[in-house]
Amino acid sequence: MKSFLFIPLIFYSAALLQTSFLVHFQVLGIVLSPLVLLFLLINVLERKESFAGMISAWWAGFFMDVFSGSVMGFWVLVFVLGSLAIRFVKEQYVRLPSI
Amino acid sequence: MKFSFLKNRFLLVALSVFFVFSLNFFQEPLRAFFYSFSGPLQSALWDKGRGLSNFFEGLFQAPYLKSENQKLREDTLSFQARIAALEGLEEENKRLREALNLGIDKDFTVLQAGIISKDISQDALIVSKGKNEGLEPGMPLITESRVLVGRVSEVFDSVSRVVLLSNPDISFDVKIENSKATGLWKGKGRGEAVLDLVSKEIPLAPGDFVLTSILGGVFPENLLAGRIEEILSNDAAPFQSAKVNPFFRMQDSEFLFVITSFKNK
Repeated sequence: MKSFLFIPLIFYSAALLQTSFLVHFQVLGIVLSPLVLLFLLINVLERKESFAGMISAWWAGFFMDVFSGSVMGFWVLVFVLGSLAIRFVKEQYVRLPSI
Repeated sequence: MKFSFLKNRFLLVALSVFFVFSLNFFQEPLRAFFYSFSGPLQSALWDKGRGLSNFFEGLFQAPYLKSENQKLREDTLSFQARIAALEGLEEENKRLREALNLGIDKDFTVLQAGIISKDISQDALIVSKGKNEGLEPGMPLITESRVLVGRVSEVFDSVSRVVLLSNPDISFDVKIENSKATGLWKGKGRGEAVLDLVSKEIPLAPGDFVLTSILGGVFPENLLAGRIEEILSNDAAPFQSAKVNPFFRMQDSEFLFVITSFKNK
């Protein structure tokens, strides 16, 4: 539960880093997105019973919405659907080896 | 029972998304809140990023510096010739204005603003001046070299959002330097823009300068907008079009100037 409190802080820092620092280091017009990377990392590595993936999707989307000119909620929807898709693929097709 | 609904993932997801969509009713104060306390941090990060990027750019481009230097020297000679020609015209213009008793005031009044961040998903910037300093939507921004940057699209208390010339929301009338050709500049997104609706009677060439035109009154006249990179028109099209490169590059400018009023508005 404690980690859930850090998620918004981490994603906020990632958003600031992306909009103000990494934007100077474009490769072929593409900016590295720590928001997306963190979101993918948390969603891929989270345990089955964890809810961190969904929480991270919500916050990643929220900060994308705040720091862009798009309609509020657009990116939240995209990330939440992305999180559900990752969870679905993991549950249906991925078998982790047991030790 | 209390926790059973929490297990219903879809209900929770739907509720949370609905909640965020409902924030659209308060999006201006919400964004203003985040920008106001993020501003100083973003400004510091922007400066660090810009400095580091310039350093690495110099490092990676060292092998090409000689040829680029040569090209710049050639450009300088060409510009000097143009300046000499323009100085003659300026003198003539001055005499004509005096003859017509027209006052030569400054073309516009400006307000300096720093860049603090770039929009995540669009060709837009956030600058460090807002409603408190008198900024309004629609005001143009230029660099110190009179290069057009874009226009203010949204103002918050202490910051403003500026759409760049490559933003798909931008379109304005332009003219081609040293010719009578006029056309329409359209942003295409991802740093790209096109020049459209140029009469076929006047030939375009890569390298031609594109300047703002008084038509439409969106921007002051004769600001540098970009340079033609490639002609895109085909025989079937009724007009010529071309791919243009906006002159403004984020990493080159520390400060921008907001034009708060201009004469030909």
